[in-house]
Amino acid sequence: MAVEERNLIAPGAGLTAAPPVVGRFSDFVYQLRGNPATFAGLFIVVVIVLSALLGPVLARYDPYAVDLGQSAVGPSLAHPFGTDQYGEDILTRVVVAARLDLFMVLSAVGASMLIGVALGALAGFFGRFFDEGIMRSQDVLQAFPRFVFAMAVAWALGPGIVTVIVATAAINIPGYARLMRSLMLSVKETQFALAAVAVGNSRWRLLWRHLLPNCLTPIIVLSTLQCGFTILEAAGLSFIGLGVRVPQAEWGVMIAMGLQDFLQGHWWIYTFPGLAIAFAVLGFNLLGDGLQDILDPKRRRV
Amino acid sequence: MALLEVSDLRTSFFLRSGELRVLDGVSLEIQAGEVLGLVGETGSGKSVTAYSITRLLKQPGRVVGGEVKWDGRDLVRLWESELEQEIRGKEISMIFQSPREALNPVITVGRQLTQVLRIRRGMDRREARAEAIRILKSVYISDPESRLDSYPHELSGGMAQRIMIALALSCQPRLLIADEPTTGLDVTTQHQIVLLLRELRDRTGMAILLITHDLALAAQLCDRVAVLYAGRIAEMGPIGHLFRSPRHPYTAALLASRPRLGLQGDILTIPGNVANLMRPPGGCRFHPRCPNATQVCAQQQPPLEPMDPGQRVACHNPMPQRQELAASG
Repeated sequence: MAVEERNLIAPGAGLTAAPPVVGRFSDFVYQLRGNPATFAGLFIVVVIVLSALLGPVLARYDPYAVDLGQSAVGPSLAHPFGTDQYGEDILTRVVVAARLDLFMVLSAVGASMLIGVALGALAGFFGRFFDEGIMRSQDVLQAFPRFVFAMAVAWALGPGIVTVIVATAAINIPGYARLMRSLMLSVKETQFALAAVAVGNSRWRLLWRHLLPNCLTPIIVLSTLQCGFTILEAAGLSFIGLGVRVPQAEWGVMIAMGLQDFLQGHWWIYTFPGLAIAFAVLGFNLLGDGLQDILDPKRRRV
Repeated sequence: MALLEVSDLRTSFFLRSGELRVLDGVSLEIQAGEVLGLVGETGSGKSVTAYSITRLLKQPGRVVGGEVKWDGRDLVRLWESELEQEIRGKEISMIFQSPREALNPVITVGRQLTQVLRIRRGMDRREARAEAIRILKSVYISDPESRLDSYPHELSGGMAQRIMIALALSCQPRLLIADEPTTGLDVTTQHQIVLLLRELRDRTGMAILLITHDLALAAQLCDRVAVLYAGRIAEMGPIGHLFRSPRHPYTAALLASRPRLGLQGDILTIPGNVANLMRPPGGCRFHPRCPNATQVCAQQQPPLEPMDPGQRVACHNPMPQRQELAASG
């Protein structure tokens, strides 16, 4: 003990006290304030999430209440977004549809992220025939135009919510796998990867506990951007009749319904769900771009 | 019996242009509690020796021959899983140059420490945290409780190296391989790290293999030094002896090329370049640059033979023993 106390001065001299701890949340708010576009994106996404959670509670009408006496009425105080051919309130349906659309998008993006990240991580980490086998299979998936491939998958599975999820997830997997592989290739060569093994971590632990967390930032950003595209693709599948079917409140389906009345000039039937899609895509893209700045230590505000 | 016994270790890098023989029969041994310095120029194979011992060589490097005996087991022939579970961290651990890059940037210091403690020493969360704090104290980190929540980029270089040392020592290894541990640190911090390593050796009795090109650092810390030239040991012996009376012309030239206080005129340099390992010179690899070279040097590889007590030299025409040393015995 005497030895320790004597040396406490010499080897430890010059060490400063820890800096004040800044909360992660307050830092996040600070970063957002310097970045209005990201804030707008976050706002839109929060609105969508809230309507997905609370939509059925807030809505003034039953989204599936057929009222043929009110068929295709234009926007009014009672029906701000008008009604569709069955007399269903479009505002209610747009809000309620957020739940289904968000559910499909998050499931699809989540599933493709899990599968794609795992495949990419294995390919990048183990290399050789793992790499060849996995990446060539991804090449096959990417050989088709995205939406055409999604259509083929959806057509093979038959219409339904699960179909939309599987089809949109399938086209997103290669993007994750490629990104993850390239991240893994660079991060596995770092000094800390070597050091982690040298002090006694197994390769498997190195891969999942040390290297994977280092790759997460770009993955999170990609996922946010991917949510935007996936909304378009999910709605697109439903629009052409390969996804969710007609009575369901879903943005793509609602646009498809509106198109039947296009020539009658009932513009409100397709315009409002279309705007909902546009806003959702915009929101996720703004948020994704902003997250890129916020999560990148070199680009953040100090 | 020696703690670690490396004999005739051969490591090659297989490149497209051919086989690069980076280590060509390196033999050395480390006793328990001893600090052995491995010195040499850049490219002499110091780090490759360390990575060959712990089997952390990257492609296209491969150990092609020789033995690394640890507790009667040959590390060269051990399964990767055995190395992971029984050797690395537990028996032999490593610290590196540029310590900040050797710590994972996205995981807190505390997590990196407790992770190892939990998997390797079977501690639960609270025990691991308490032990982590204890270890950080033992490497003189002030305020270890709050340091546990720091990320590596919030640390100074010296503190990062202390934490790397803490991490390496967390499983109480019997050998610490320090690969240029003070490179990239300022002189004051270097000195503190040296003091720390020396104290840890005295306290825990672990052996240290110190890899460095800094002769002054080796002199401060080592009991014995092995001089590596182009993948072979040129000379090996107790530090005082080797510094006062180098017998291999390369060691002598290396010592003469140190900058010293009060030096008149230019620093002596060693003529020529480090041997090309793709097509190494025959015989002694140092002979094209050696002032003592004779015919035999170009033809026969000199064996590493005992010369003075505890000193081994691989040279056909060694330097004469210094007089004052011979007189003092």
